[in-house]
Amino acid sequence: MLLCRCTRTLLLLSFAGAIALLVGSVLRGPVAWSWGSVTLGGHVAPVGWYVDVPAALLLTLVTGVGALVAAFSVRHLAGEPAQGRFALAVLGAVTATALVVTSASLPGLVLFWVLSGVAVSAVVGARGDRPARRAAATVRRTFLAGDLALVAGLVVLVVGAPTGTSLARADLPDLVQQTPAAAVVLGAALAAIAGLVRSAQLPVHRWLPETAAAATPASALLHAGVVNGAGVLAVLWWPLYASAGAVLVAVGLLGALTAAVAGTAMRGRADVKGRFAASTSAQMGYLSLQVGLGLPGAALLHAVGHGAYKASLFLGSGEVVGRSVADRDRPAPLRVDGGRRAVALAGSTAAAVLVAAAVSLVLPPVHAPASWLLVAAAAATSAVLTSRLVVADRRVGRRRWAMAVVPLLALAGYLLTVGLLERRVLDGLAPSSLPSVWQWALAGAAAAVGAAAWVVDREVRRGRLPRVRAWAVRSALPPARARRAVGTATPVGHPPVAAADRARARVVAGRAASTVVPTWPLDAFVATNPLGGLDTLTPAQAFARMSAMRGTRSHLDDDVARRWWREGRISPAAVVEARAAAGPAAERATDVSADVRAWWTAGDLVDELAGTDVVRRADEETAVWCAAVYDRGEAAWGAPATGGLWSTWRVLGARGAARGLGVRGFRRWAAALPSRPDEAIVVLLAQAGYPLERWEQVLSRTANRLPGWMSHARLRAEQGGDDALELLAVRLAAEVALVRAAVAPDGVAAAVAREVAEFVAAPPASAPTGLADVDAEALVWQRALEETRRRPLLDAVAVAARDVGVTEVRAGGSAGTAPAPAAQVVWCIDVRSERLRRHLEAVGSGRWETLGFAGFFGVPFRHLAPEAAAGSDQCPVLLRPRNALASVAVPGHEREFAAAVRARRRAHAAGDAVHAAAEHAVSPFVLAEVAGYGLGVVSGLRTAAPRWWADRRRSPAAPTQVRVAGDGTDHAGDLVAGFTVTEQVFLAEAALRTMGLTSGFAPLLVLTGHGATTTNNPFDTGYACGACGGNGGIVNARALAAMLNDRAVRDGLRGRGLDLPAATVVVAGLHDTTLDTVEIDEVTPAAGTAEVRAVLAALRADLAAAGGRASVERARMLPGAPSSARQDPRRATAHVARRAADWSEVRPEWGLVGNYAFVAGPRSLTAAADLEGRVFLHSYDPAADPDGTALEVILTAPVVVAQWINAQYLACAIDPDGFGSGSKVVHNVTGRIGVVSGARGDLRPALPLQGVADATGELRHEPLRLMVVVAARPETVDTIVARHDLLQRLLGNGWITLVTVSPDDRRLRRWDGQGVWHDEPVAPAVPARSAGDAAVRVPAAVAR
Amino acid sequence: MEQAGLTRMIKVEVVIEAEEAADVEALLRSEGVTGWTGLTGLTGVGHGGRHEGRLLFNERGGQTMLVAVLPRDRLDGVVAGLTELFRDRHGVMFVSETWVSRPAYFS
Repeated sequence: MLLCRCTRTLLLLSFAGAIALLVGSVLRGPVAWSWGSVTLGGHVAPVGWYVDVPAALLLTLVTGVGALVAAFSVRHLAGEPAQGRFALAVLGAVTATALVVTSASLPGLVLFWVLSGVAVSAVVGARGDRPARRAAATVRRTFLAGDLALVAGLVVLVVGAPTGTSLARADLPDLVQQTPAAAVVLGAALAAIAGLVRSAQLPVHRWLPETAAAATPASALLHAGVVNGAGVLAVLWWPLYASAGAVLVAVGLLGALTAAVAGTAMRGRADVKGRFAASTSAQMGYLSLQVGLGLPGAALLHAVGHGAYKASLFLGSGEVVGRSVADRDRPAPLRVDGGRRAVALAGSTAAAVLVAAAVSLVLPPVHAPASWLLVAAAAATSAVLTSRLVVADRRVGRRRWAMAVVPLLALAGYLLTVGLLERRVLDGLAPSSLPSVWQWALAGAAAAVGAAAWVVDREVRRGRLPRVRAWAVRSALPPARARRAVGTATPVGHPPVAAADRARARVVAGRAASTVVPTWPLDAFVATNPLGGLDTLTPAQAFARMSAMRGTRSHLDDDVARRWWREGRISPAAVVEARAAAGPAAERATDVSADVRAWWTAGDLVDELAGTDVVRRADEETAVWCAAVYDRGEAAWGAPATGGLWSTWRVLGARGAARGLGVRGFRRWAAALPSRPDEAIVVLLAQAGYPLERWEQVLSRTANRLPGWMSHARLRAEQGGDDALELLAVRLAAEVALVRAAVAPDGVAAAVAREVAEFVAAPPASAPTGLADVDAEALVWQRALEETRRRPLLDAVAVAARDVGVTEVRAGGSAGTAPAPAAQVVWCIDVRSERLRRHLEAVGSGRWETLGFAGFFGVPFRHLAPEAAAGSDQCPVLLRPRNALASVAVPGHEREFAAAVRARRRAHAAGDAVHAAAEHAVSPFVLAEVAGYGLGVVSGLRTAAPRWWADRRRSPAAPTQVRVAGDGTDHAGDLVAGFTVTEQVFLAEAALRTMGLTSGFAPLLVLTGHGATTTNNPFDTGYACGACGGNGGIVNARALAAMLNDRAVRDGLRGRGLDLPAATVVVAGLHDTTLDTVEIDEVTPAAGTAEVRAVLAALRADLAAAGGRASVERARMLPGAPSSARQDPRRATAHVARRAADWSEVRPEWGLVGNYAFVAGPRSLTAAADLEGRVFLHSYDPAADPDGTALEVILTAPVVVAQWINAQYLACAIDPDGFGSGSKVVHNVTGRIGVVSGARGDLRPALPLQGVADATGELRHEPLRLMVVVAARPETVDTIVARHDLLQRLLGNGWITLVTVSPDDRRLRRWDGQGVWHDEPVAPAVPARSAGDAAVRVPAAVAR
Repeated sequence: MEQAGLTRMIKVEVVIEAEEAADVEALLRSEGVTGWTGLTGLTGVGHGGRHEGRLLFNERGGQTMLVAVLPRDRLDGVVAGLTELFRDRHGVMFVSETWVSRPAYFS
């Protein structure tokens, strides 16, 4: 961290110096310093700096991007093992590059050029993991070729120039003049090669996408600064380039070709960083074209603009998911289609041409005719933007015409600015010696290439040119250099597949796939148990089997456990108890499934015997096609419309597979396979030689090779597709093809082939084995840790049960009376609510009663944002909404509401237009350049003043309510619009009874949903409400509030024994878990009395105070929080707000870290304890639920969801990289579904490393299985459990530990998994927390 | 029956856990079965003990019955698939002859 901060300071100072130099060089001419000279081959080379305007501009870019990257990395890389190494590498790379652009001599430039390459590879490899090291090696190898070319070019010039010639950069024109033309051309050509390598131009472009293995800030530095090599050399050595016309033509042509080819690849890529990488190559192609046309000044401006643009895009690459969420809730646009669209395009084009012509009349292009091409490109960009703004959404109204003028004004401004800069500032960059006719020819060729790219783009969008489509998908694979052919696959005929065989294969495949649980896309993050497919086993068995199938860790690291024991985080007494218990045999025993080799397939064996990479190739092949086919709109071309994954791959993927997969004859081999995936699996398994009894094992292993993509395929399959089956077929086919190719005569040795044949034909092993000693020891640690953590909670509950009772004590409640609260606040059961509840209760001294309930408040529906067509499912994934509810204006605020909707329409229309222009074949180049200057400033502001920037961006929200009323006949899409009164009564009653709130209603009842505020965070929805499907819960709260306030519903409830007093007002609120704030909707004078509004005002004040205390408590656990924030609520509030707004922050909050228990009972059972924000709290009153109906609801829904969350944290803490998604800093958002790590690979579901570990890498989440404590009689629980297989699995196999606290004898009893209840130890005497005691106690588990 | 204008078909009734219903539906679809009827939230007593009806907040719990009618030539795949499914899952299937008045609906 310290090194990163120092680097940031140094680079900021350098940036300020660069700006000063820029100003100085513009006003006073070149700035030069010299400390003498050296002699080289009889020539004189000065030692010092020479900074003219181009050099100063480049220096500003390099230091600016460097400072931005360093400042961003301070927080973004906090906790990365190599943050210091990264900072040093960045400092080295920026310093070397700065010396390249400022060096006074040619040899100095070459020397620092080489050094900058070394530093860049150090930046790429700084993380030190295998992918980063591999990428760094690729960079080093590729750069070496370019560096050698540059050194050779210098040697040619030195040898060719007459003795005594000055090698100063300022004297380069003289050197060129005195050197023979052949040497000049050769030197220029070699320098151009060096530049093209650094700028990732064809055919040496493949190194750039590979650098996605590095951290995101590293990518920003590369794409914004380093990659401008072609432009840097051309600008600094322009006299040399200008005298080599042939080189210019070659550079220009290659640039145009790269711009077209890379741009085309970009439109087919579904991963954000892959798209950016292709885009960078294309942009550098455009820059090279500018150089080729003899326009180094324009190239320089493009380099600076694009650099700032790409730095901003990379650093903000996590925002893609947020935009996806915003798109879902956007007001449905009314597009302009058909003829009007063509008219809009024609009109926009005409307007852009007129503007360009007018500006050109005032300020003619400096370097005609070449400049005309750039003027045309700028006009085309303006035309695309203008036309898209016009057609984006007719409902924007007249303002769209005003918006459409902006690109035209920008065009005029751009042309004028460039014209003036080229005349006044960059006039030292003289035009080239390229004859005018060559310039025209080159411009014509570039225009033709651009037109061809445009035609290809249009054809692919129409579903044609499958070969191009397949090529774009395969461009995501590693460089072909590493893909030597494994061998040849010979087609094999097969008899028709019997219906029984294919049906059997389908079911076996389904069983194999079910070992992977479905996961939801990141725009609606839902926690799931990564081992949920194995819940018929004990956790130990499931982890062991996963370890064998996937190579994941099976338990908490032994060293960590021992350290925790030494630190007292694991109680010695608990260890003794756990060791004595030693676990029932069922938990310890495992079977052959825990043996790694038992899960091997032929691919694993071939790899081991022959040293091939069959398994990795098959994985990569399958993964890139999954990304393409499952894409939800990231690629400009969308997903291929050729059916499912299997049919797409079999037909489209077969093209180019010989090179991409490395199997000769693949296309013919694939063509011989059945078109149905289930039949293909039968044929493939037979072709591979696996006997029937091996099918499940082979398919299970296949499913678990890519568990991330399989989990997404499983989700799609649940919605009625065959996706899991198809994914298995593709992965199996890729491996079978590779193995067949490997064992073919032109593949590996015959002995290997024989061994493989014997291996596949062998029956599966079946002998059971025991867990190894280390695993048995791990079980002891696991139980000891759990008991250590559980004991204080159980003691607190026992004391409360003994002293206060087990039933609800409320005014008018079932167990007597208590002082009536002024308000009741219902919170989600989420563990994060406990902290704020506790502080609110303490601040309010009894005025506020708090309750817990599932955050969807028992109202499952699809929410339609204002005027939105799509919607979000606001319910747990255990439910499917059948009703749709829309957000509408609160009466009296219609105009405000409509204005807010129009503002959103304008924002979306502008976003659509920019997005379309960025994906176009022609317009991205000028767009990037112009937008870059603005985005550069924005990036600086976002980094330096995140809160200020976030406040500027926040738009005021209009008062909104949810319309719940419906008559059961209106529809919104396939759902019923609204709920009937009868349905509302049913839902309201269920909610109230389940939370035990059946009497004693306060005058004010607040239903508090929850959400979170984070920035640039792909996992944003992971902090939202899981019970609301990964969405904010405010709309659910508003829905239930509207129902409970409705007179007819209250009448209905009264008829069912629930009497809400007429004076009681129900209102909705939103708890922001990142900010610790609660915003409560207004109570209008019509809705509530002055007394109620006064209560609301007092409640808001207390919530603010409680929020400050909660922030202090959280700040003590948040890494990087200043010490003042750990004491002072005001500073804590400011600190958490900064985290929420900071786009470089990787830990905006801790989410549900620490969760380990679920308590269903009256608040009195837990009110005296500080539960540290780690316990799910569900209100429940056993006295109000004599038949256990409400308890059954709680055990079969909220407890199940809590167990998923708990198991996800458990698994991610045990293996953050295996079960979690690894480090955020290398995440690459793909297909708008999830993230992959680096350039390609498996989808990474679940929590990131930064979600469970702190900045030192220490686990913040302790891997603890869920304990459920319910206020109920054991026999009531027995009855419920006996009715539900799921509960039997979860309880019986040890995924959940169940404890009851009986309302009869107030004793605690624990279920032992065999159906027997055991008494818990008698409660100790523990003083209860007084009402006014809100002293913050740092959880022992995380205290440092 | 034939005299009454009815056509002989096969009726397959499957009782399975609700979370398995999607897999069975996929099997039916893949074997060319064009329609079926689903009954959710079953209540009853069977091999696994008593089962209750629909849960309030969890549609994935409980049991579901799917009733499909199909021509004889599509039975092999369906039965083979279900037999394989029941190797490790709860559930039963009933296969019987039935007669339908609109055979085109089932083929």
